[in-house]
Amino acid sequence: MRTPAFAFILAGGLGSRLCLLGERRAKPAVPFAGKYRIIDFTLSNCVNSGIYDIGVLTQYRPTSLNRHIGTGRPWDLDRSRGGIQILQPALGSVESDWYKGTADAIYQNLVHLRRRRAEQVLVLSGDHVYKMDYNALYEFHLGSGAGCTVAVTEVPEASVQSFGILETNGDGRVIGFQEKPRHAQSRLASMGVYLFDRASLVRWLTEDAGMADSTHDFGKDVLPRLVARREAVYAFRFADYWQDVGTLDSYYEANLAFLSGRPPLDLADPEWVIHTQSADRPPVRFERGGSVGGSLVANGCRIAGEVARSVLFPGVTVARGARVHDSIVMHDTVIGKGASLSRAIVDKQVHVGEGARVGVGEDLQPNRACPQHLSSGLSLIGKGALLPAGVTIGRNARIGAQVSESDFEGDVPAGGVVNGPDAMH
Amino acid sequence: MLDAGVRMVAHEFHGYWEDVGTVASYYRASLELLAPESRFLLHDQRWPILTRDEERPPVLLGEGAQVENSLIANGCRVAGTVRNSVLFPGVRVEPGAEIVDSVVMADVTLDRGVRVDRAILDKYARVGADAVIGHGEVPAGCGNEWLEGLTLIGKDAEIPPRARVGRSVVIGVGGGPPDFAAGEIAAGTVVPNRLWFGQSR
Repeated sequence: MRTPAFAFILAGGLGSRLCLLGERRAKPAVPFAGKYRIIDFTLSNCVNSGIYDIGVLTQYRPTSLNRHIGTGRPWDLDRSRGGIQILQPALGSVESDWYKGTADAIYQNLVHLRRRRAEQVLVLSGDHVYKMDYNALYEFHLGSGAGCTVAVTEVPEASVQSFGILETNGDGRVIGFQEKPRHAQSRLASMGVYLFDRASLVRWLTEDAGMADSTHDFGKDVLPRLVARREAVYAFRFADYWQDVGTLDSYYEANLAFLSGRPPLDLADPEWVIHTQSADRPPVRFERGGSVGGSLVANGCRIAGEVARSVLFPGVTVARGARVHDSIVMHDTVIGKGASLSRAIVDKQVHVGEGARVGVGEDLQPNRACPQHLSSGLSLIGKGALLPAGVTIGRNARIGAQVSESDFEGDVPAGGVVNGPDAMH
Repeated sequence: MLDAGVRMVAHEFHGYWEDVGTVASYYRASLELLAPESRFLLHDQRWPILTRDEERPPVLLGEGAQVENSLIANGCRVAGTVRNSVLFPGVRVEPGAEIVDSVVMADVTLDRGVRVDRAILDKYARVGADAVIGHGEVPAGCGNEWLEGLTLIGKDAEIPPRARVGRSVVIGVGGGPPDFAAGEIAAGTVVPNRLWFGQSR
């Protein structure tokens, strides 16, 4: 990037539709595709586009994200000029408060633009999976004379109600903006990627901050208002893979899409490396008698059992006779001898006792605690849970984080819930 | 020092220690890591062996992959068969390829139907479809006894499709199709290194 550039990444999101996965970490910190966190895609997009000056706005449960980003070294963001800065709301100070919405989050951090020369400000979301060279967006923005350019992608008609939908005229100017409409003429969805002229951004956010009836959100308030009064807002069309992994089902599907011979985006592209914080672990150890097919397996894993159509994060052990099918298993989880997983999402450091079976039967009774998010047959096991040997767990079940063997009262039926010491529901 | 009368004592070390100074001992030490109870523990989290790691994706195992008793590093893509072998980062094993008892270094590609047996392949080597590396008998008296029947493929070598490479062979760094005019490299042959800026191929 030739001109000085600065990016804000909104990473405060509450991943409530991710149920257990988002209970203890912000959505951008949720593990993805065998070794990454969701925010790695946005951070890597920035540095691969030449943007090395980034402010990450955190809010909800930031510990996991803070630890992941650290000094920014994996992304070459540990720099003396620019680099990465975590911007947590400073509760209790005079002008600062818990962020009210995405626009307010940026508004409260406008001070960080003061000593920067960047004439444009990139506002990104930390919870999408995509590979995008922001230079093309800058070129389009400068060429169109826009005050704000919104990157858009085409979504199926059935899912317009999950996105901000933009209507454009022939030259890409936005003439309509509806946040999560029931029906829409257009299928162009906002990707949560905005490029603003700095002066316009400051003016528009200051104006929004003074409005009592605003929820101070880009999608709900600021953009519809700008479009309604015919400000120069343009849409930049992005045609490649872009995925919002906001729900358990979309999270599961997006992970499994990386198992095919033709993944939606090339994780091994040496020209566009997806950087992440990875610990030094040995190569994957495949033992005698094990078998693995159609799977993504990260370093440090030890496989003595059977793994099919699954994603295994670093350090997972699959013991002899264990079977892991159609599942996502996070760091350092141990699947005991003869245990089985079917359509399960298992968080970090879980211990599945010998002969335990997760995802059993055909009963698709929705989950008792989160029926709207856990009903497609996935089973969820929270971080650090200990599943007793021989236990049977039905589909759509939810086993809380840090649950111990004594929290189980026998088998768990479909849709069942076992809560741990600090259940949040 | 002893002659000068310095007091020198020996400390006996009982852990794993290996000098990997020869090709054969390097090979043995590599494959020894695969033993069920390897004497050298790579998976000890209290004593990680630190290295400069490139950022690579997890290992992708294709639908037809068969992997047994092997160590496979990040960035590998395996759709064929791997047995008793060590694969460094970024190795690609296409469907139908088979690697047995071998050490394959970073970013080597093995096309469809390739067979590799008791060989060490250095980085970036490319092996064309249906080529065979390490076949036939170990030759007697060829002067390559130090290889103990292993086949060595040098860095950046390009093995053409359907080529056959016998045992106790060394294909030098950058070896390529001109070296394979006969289609076969006889057991015990040494193909010298080629400089990448040398003669055009």
